[in-house]
Amino acid sequence: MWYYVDPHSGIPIYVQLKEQIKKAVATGLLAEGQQMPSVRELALQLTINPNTVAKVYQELEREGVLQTARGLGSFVAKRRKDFGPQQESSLDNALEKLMVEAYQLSVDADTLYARFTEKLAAWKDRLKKGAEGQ
Amino acid sequence: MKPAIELENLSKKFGKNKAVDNLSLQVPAGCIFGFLGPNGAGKTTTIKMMLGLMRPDGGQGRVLGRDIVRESEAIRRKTGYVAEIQEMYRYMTVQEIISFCKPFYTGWNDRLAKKYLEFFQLPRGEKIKNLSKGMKTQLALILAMAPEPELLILDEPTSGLDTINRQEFLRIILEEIALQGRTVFLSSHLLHDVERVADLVAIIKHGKLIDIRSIDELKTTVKKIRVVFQKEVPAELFSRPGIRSYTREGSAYVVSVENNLQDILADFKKYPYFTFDIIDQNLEEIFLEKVKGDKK
Repeated sequence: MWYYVDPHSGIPIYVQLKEQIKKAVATGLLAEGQQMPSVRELALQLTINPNTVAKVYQELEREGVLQTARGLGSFVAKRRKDFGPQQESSLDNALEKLMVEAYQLSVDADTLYARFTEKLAAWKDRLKKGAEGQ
Repeated sequence: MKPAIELENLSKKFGKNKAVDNLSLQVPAGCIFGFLGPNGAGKTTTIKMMLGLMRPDGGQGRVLGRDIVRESEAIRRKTGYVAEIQEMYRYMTVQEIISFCKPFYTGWNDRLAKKYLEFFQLPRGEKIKNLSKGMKTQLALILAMAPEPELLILDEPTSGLDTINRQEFLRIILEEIALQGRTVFLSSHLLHDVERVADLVAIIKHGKLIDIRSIDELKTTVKKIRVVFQKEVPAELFSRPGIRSYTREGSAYVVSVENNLQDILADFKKYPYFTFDIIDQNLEEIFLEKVKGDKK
C-alpha cells in the first residue's frame, strides 16, 4: 500500500497516518494478516520521525486494528467479532456526538435519519466493492 | 530516561543586549528537538554555550550529563555539530579534512564517512574552498556524524540546500541518528523541516522561551474556532483560560485557542449556533502567531 502524509497540515502526522491505516483496513485495502512495513521502513519512506510511526502502531494495536508478533513485525489483526461493553460505549459516544451536532445545526430527527440511512447504504456498497476487488 | 540537555536560567548578554535571557529547557534523550525562533532570537548563542564555545553570564546547563562550563571538552567529544556557517580549513581537500578530524575521536566510523562521501558524490581531491555551499554543508554533516555522536546539533543546517537535498539530509539524520536512539537538536527558522521530523519543539524570542511542547500536542490544542451563535452569548465565555484572543464581527467570532481546547469546545457548544468551525493550525501559523503576539 502507498502511504501518504502531509507534514504541513494542521492535523498531526500521527493522526493522519492512523486514520489512513484504519480506513484501509475497514475497506479491505489492507487485508487481515497482511504484514505492515517496519517502523524503520515507513519512517524513512515518508521522511518522518520513527517515534511517530511507533506511536501509530502502538495505538492501533491497543485498538485491535494491528497485532505485533515479537521479532516478526506488525500485522493487520483479525477483525474482532466480540462486541463487549467497551465497544458499545465507544459506539454510543460517537452516535451521541452526531446527535448533539445535528441538534445544534437545527437538523430535525427525520432528516438526520434519512441522511444516515443514505450514508450507511453508500458505505455498505463500498465495503462490498472492496471485498470483490480482492 | 535522563535528559540529553538540561538548561537552567541560562543567560548571555552582549553589552546591554540580552541575547539569551533566563532560558530553561530539557531535551529528553532519543528525541528530535526543534529549536525555533526568528533570526536574532538567541538560537546560535544558546548552542555555543551548550558546546562550551561561549561562556554563560548566568545560569547553568548540562549536556549528556556533563557541565557545559567545566566539562565542555567531554561534551564536544560526544556531540556532532553542524554550524550555520561552515568554517573549515579552506586550503584542505575533502580527504585531508577527513584524515585531519578522524584522530580526534575514538569511535570514528570509516564506513559511514565513505558511504556518504559516495552518496553525495563529494570529490575527495577537491579543495574545500572550491566546494559549493550545499557541498560544504554535506561535508560538515559527514564530519559531524562519522564519530557516531550521542547528540547531533544542527544550526540552520538546511538553509544552503535545495528541496530535494533537504529531504535527503533529513532522511540521513533519521537513519543514522534518530533510528539509532540518539538525540537530535535541530535549530531552524525553516519550519517545514522541523514540522516533518520533530517530536518536541521550543519557540524562543528575544532570548526567552515562549513555548515548549510536543508537536502533536501543539497541533491538537492550538486551533482557531469560527462560530456564529444564534443568540447573544455572555462575554465571560471568551475569558476562559486557554483562550489567547478573539475578534468579533456582528454575531461571528473568531477565537484563538492555545490550551484546554476540549473544555472550551464543550462550553461553547452549550449555546445554539448557526455555524461552528474548528480550524487546524500548522506549525507556521502557530509560530507566526506566537512570535508576533508576544511583543515585549
